[in-house]
Amino acid sequence: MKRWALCAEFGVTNRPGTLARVARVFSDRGINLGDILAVVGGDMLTMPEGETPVIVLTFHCSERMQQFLCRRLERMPEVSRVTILARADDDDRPIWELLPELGQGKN
Amino acid sequence: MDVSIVGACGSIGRQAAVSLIESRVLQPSIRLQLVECRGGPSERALLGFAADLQDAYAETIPEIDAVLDPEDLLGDIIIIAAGATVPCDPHKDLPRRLLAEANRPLFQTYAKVISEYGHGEEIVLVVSNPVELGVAIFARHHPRSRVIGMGGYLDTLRFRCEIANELGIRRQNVQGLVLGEHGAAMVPCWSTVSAFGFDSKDGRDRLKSLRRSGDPSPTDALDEIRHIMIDRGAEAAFARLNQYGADLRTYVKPFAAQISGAKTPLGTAEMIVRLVETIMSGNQTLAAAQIALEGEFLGIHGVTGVPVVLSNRGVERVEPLQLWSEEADAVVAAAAAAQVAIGEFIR
Repeated sequence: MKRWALCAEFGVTNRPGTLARVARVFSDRGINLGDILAVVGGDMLTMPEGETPVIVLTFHCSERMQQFLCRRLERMPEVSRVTILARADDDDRPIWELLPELGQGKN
Repeated sequence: MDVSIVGACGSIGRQAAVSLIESRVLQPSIRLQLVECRGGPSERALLGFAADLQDAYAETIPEIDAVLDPEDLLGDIIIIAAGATVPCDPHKDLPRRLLAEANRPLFQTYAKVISEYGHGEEIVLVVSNPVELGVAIFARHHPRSRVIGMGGYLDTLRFRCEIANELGIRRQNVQGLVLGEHGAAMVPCWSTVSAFGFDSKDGRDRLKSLRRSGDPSPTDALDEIRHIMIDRGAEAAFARLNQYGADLRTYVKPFAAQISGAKTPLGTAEMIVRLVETIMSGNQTLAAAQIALEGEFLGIHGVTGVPVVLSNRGVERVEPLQLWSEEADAVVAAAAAAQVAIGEFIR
């Protein structure tokens, strides 16, 4: 079991229930989510121009399952891109500090 | 749990999708993948079928995902209902060997995809025939306890239905299993048959009277029904098959339905729904199914229909039933014959 941080970016087809559907992809397979940072749905209204709504999640599972989960999320019509970051066991940084490494370029 | 139907535009796959949605086994948050082959005859129809489902069941429909590339298969329960089948025309025949030859590439393609891209805990329900070959191929690429051949499950429900009809009761009041091959070498096990209200001596005698002697062999019965269907029509064919015993009808009636042109989508889909419901609910059920054995039942190594307890982990365990000796011998013989047939296609 490895530690992962996953960032799902959302396109223009974002719609109600997205967060629930994303969470279900994990819960259906018995995976407990650690941290969740979500900027989706109505919060898009308060986002700076040019930013993409995202969900960042941390979780534990095998590499095989992680690859399956990425494919499963990428198949969702709302999701435009999924990036993944393997985290070392002693990596205790808060979830928002992972965003630059996940390619979001946020400060 | 997400569900994928491979062969979603075929008669079985289409009806399975409809039944799964109508029965509300699939909640709206679940993803139902309708899978067809890019470049295949159903490619064009797939998106149309998905759109039609949306129109019909907009209030309750799960998330529909039309899939044309095997690599996009993502279901936790994968129903294999694609490929060639017995022709609907009684004048045409497709021997089991040719059926195997036609469907082997399909089995291999999806088995490899699940092995390469899956998470490893998918449950594969093989409906396409020959079921034994399908199970053998999938079980080479995927944990064998998660590969379930639907043939025994279908045959068992049909057998119970035929017995119930003769007794004048409902199927839910009849127990009994069909083991062995999903084909001419099926073994309807009378030793496993019981019925609610038939436990007295008279009741048991009544059950015993259902066991006929003098019926033709399954293969001869099939030929007879085919020829009657051609020469005298469906009415005469069904009248004749209704003279057979319940065990022989279990084998011949679906064939008659197939060559009559009606096929068997409703019964098959209903049974798929029941099994999917059992898996998704987390319950366990005793059933017959074709699985890859490594000596767990009658010392059989190979694929055949045996009594199993099924759950959301696939085959929980093989149930050690005590069969009559002639039944046990027939199951062993069916498994041996299946192994020879499978050996021609996978080495």
